[in-house]
Amino acid sequence: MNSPLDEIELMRKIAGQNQQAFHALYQQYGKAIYSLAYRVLQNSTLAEEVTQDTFLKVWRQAAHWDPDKGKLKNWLLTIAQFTAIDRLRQERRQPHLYPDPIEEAEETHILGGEAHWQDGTVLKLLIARLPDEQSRLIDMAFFQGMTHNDIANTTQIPLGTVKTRLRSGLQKLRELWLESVNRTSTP
Amino acid sequence: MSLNNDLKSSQNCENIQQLIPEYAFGLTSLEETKLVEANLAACPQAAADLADYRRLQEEMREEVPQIEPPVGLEAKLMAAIAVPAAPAERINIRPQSPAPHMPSAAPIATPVTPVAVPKPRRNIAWLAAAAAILALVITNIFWFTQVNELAERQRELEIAMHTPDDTAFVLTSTANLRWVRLPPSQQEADSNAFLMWDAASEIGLMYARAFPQLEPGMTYQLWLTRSDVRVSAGTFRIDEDGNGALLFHSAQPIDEFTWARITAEPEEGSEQPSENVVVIGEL
Repeated sequence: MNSPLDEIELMRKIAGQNQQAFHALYQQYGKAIYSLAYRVLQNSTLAEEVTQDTFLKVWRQAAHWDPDKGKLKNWLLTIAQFTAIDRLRQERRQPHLYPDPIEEAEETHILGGEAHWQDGTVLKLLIARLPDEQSRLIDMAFFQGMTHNDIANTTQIPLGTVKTRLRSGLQKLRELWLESVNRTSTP
Repeated sequence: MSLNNDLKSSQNCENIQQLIPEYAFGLTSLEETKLVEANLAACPQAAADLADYRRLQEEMREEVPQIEPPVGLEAKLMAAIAVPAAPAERINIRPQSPAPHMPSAAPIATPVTPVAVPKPRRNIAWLAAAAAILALVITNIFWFTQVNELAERQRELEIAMHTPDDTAFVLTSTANLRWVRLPPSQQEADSNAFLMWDAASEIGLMYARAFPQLEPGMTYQLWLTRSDVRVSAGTFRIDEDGNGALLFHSAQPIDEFTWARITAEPEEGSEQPSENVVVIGEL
């Protein structure tokens, strides 16, 4: 299922409500989608729900995918990330309806500690070169879908400072990433 | 005049380029987002920066630590799509305008109401009971739609085992649902099988998919392994598409077994499995 043609055929079948094709899609991408959902939500029950929602969106709207605009995996992971962030926002709006000490502890850990998204091989090396605070702000923006205001309120850092540090952090991250990509692609 | 225009354009592009990092990460205001989108085509360097950020984001999504999804998730999903859905939105599909906080990476901007799926949230007894009933209904619908011969197999099994009252696949609750996929033993093969059972009983259900057709006189046989002892759970045939099913009964709780495999055997079944393993997996 790695070639674009295979992906197109798979998604064509899913758009035609072919259950076996859908199952093959889950086999191929279920783990990546669940992992990303878990990364955003830090809760296995919510991550499972978001994974279900993501796949059911794909089941209903498989024809939305446009192969000219990018790889299937990117499309799926983007849907999963936005679905997870939407869910995270819902949970934040009603945080005390079902208090869950484990969730709260995990959240405190995320907000209080260093960013978690640098677990990947490449990014781990890059993030080590960013100040902790910048990587934390990027994490909050990207994986938790926070706005500048959300971040300022959560961290108690002035809004202007959040904007400056975040922009500078993103620019630095891009530079490091480009260096890394160029180094890797040099024979 | 032309120089003035060029200068204006250059300054405008510098401004756009400054906004790109925040735009890429969904941090621009609605006004800034509109500004970027209106001018991006005229600012090649800004567009190139944006492309870099998009690729970086792709890596950030892909490089999160990989975690195995819960075992029952696959079954729930397959059951959910097997249920005749409420009228789904069949939209003629192209990427739509992204939400302002999430620029063009957003492929679906319109929220979609998912098919109702049992979602384990809180430990509430009535909810669990309702979920158990729902799971029972939808999983059975799924399997029965997948396997036309299931009822016939069940009757055969009942006759063979002389225990007609026990051979019903019943989930006593969703907490008892066990589910594994048995992957192909050969890397290049497509065959796989699904084993589902209720931890509180000795009844299991196996569904085989895309199995190779066998020579006449041969059949498939399911084996369960416990402490190096391999126990036959029964034989089954496949249809012309390579699909087959087996409702089986075990003398011991299925939870006590550690491995399952399916082999090709002579039609009457074998005492011990052959080396011709089609799928194998850990329970």
